[in-house]
Amino acid sequence: MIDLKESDPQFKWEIVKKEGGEGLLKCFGCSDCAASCPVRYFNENYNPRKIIRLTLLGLKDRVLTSPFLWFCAHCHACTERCPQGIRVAELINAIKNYAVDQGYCPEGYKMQLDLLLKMGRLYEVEDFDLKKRQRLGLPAIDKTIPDVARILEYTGILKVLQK
Amino acid sequence: MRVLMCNCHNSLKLPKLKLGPDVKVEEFDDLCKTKPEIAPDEKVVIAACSPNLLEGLFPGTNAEFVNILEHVFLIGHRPEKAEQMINAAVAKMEKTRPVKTKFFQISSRKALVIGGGIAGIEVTAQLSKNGIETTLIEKTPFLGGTVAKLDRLYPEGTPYSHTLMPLINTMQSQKNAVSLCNTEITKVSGRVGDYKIELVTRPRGVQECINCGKCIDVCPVEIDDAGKSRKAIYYVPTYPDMYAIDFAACTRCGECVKVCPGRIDLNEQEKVSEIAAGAVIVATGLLWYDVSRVEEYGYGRLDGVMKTLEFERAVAAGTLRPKKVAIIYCAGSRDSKHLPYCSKICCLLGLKEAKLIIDRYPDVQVYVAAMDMRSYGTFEYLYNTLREKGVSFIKGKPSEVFRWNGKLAVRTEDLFTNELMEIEVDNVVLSSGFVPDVETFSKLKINLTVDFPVLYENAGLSNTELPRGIFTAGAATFPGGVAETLIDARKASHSALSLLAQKEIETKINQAVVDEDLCSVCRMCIGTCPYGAISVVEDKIKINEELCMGCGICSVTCPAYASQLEGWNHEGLREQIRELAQQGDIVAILCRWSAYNATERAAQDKLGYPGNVKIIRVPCTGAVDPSHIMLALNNGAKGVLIGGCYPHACHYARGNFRAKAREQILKLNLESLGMAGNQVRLEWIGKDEAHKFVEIVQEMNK
Repeated sequence: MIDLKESDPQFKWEIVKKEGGEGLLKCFGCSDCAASCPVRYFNENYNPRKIIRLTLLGLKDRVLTSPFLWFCAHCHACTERCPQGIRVAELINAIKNYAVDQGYCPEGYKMQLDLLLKMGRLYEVEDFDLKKRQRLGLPAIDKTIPDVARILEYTGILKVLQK
Repeated sequence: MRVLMCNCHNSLKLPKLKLGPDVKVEEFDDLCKTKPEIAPDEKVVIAACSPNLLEGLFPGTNAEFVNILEHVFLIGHRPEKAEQMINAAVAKMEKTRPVKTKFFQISSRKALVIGGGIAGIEVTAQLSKNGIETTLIEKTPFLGGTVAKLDRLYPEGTPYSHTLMPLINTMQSQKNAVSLCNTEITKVSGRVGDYKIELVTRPRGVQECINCGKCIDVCPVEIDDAGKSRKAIYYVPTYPDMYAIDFAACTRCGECVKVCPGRIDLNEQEKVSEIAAGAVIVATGLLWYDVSRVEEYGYGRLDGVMKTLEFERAVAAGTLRPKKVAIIYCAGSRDSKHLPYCSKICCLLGLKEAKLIIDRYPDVQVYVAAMDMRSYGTFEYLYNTLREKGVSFIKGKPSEVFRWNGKLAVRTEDLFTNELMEIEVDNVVLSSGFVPDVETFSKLKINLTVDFPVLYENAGLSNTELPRGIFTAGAATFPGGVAETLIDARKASHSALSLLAQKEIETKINQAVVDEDLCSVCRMCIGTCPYGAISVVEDKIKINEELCMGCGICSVTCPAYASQLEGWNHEGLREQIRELAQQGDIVAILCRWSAYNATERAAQDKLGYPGNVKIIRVPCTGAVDPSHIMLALNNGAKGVLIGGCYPHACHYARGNFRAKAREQILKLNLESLGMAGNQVRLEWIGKDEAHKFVEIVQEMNK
């Protein structure tokens, strides 16, 4: 049951202020985004309409702790079709940014960041790979790319996630 | 100049005025009962009670109203303030240009009706019954419009002929009515009461006809006419009672000429004619939105996806026999990429199609996918009936229509169960919205700033304030059902009648006047006019007297002050402010439609405010020039309050937005000059918001 005593009436205004969140209040719940969503097609629990609805109701904890918030693949099918011209994918992104600001970030994302910082890659290059490349006549590649860590530091993502 | 003062049954202690020798002061016990004569070109200052009341008692006078009752005596201010206010008004009137009376002769007591659908036919019948010579023109070869294409009308499913045929017969029996088919307007010139309209009549091909139908048998061209197939030579059972050739499809093979016992001329030429009319009624009817632009629904790309009208005609003709049908609502409606508005009747059209197919083939499964069902008013019964007939209603906007294994399918989410849904159907019907007839309106020089003229009422389409002589009837005003269309047509015909019944129209609206010596034709005013009343004619700025409503926005936009409002020109207003604003005062420049009324309400509700608040009445906040504000501050005023209507509630469409923009720039300028920007305040004060007004002036007084 939705208990509106828990709702935070300021939540929607904070999302509206974020970049990409401007269209939030235009939503009239036609469900075109949910019907267009390819992620929804494989996981019935993911529903962009529901995320927008809970945000509008101000149920902050439920939105930010929900694992489904992070399922959006940013294909922008919803953005194309939304009759109210809401940029839905960017709106979901704004909510994600807000969640990270508040300290809610799934472990998987943090692990990926650690890998990037350590190696500059999301997968490890092993000797086996290098041997295979050599056999195919391809040049060897570096096992780590230290520049990526510097780029990441420059973007400020480390400050955001360490908060 | 005269000053008329009222002591309201000896209850007010009027000040002794010391004015120049050419100003005559008269005092009355009850001005509202005495009603002294005022010559039309005479300038007067009336110091009494509310101008809203007095404007009605002294219509068409060049008067400046000073509300000494509610701005001085009723709230206990000193009588000296009244004297100062009257002096300021006299100073203003001396410099004010009088309001010119405009006359529009109704020289042609005839009417032109554009569009031969039910609205146009009804207007023609009503006007010609009342002795107005009326010409009805129709673009297609047959009268009847959209209704003649339908099978039945909602909600009961009455055949169209029940409504259409009596209307046509009534019109045809009037001797003043003339109907011209295949005819369009090409050029319109003139003004209210005296329009000249050029018409072009396209060839019909068939000249003498006995309705034998032999031509249909031999015609080799078969085309699709909104769901039903017909030949290039065809007949619609309305009026006129003869066949016509569709020259867009005709190959001019000459087969019909050979069999025709009457006369067919394939080489007929276009005819151009000109008629005069005092009033024009636009009844161009329903225009469907091009639904193929809603690409995800596949109209024109997928077989089996059709519009409501095509579906209705195909089912009625018996050429379509589906087992499963999905009706998609709001195809392109309420959508910022297509039509941002609701067309009102498409929900009912969809329900009608569902009823049509179920009545004909009871075993058909019908799915209706709608984000909202808007069966307004008593049409709820139709919705109830259809649920009982077994139609499945799905809440949710479908995302796409696609073909899968040779079958059409609709993908949607059902909001009731919160689950995805795919519906396999034989046919998809798109209930799409309607668009305004921009082409006809632009020929009549009407700029549609909003989607439909229904919201255009106070911009001169009605003759309540300004005569324009152009009326809209039926679906040209806004899409509506048959009953609504006929009611609207009667309204339009009666408005036209009351216009044509007059010999000449007299109006006394204070309009903008351009001083040609000062004007450099920079054209800045053209964009600011909310009514499109300003145009360039022969390299000179011209203000259309039929359209100008007197907001005064252009007078502030003009960098040379060439455009000035009658009764409120800048020189006069400056004199008024110079007299009124004194050291430590608050000058309140208030819109006559809202904030000014709030000050009167403050007096009636016994809400006091300080005596240093000096009130100036303007037609719109958009007519307040920054120089007026600077002048008040120069004279030592502590603050200037500009009060107007709430955003989007401006009487002149967008005057208050202009005021807001100007206020922000002025504030920046003031701050750069080292003055406090908060001396100037722009506030939205509604008609009855006396509390808000009093709170603001008290705050400014601190």
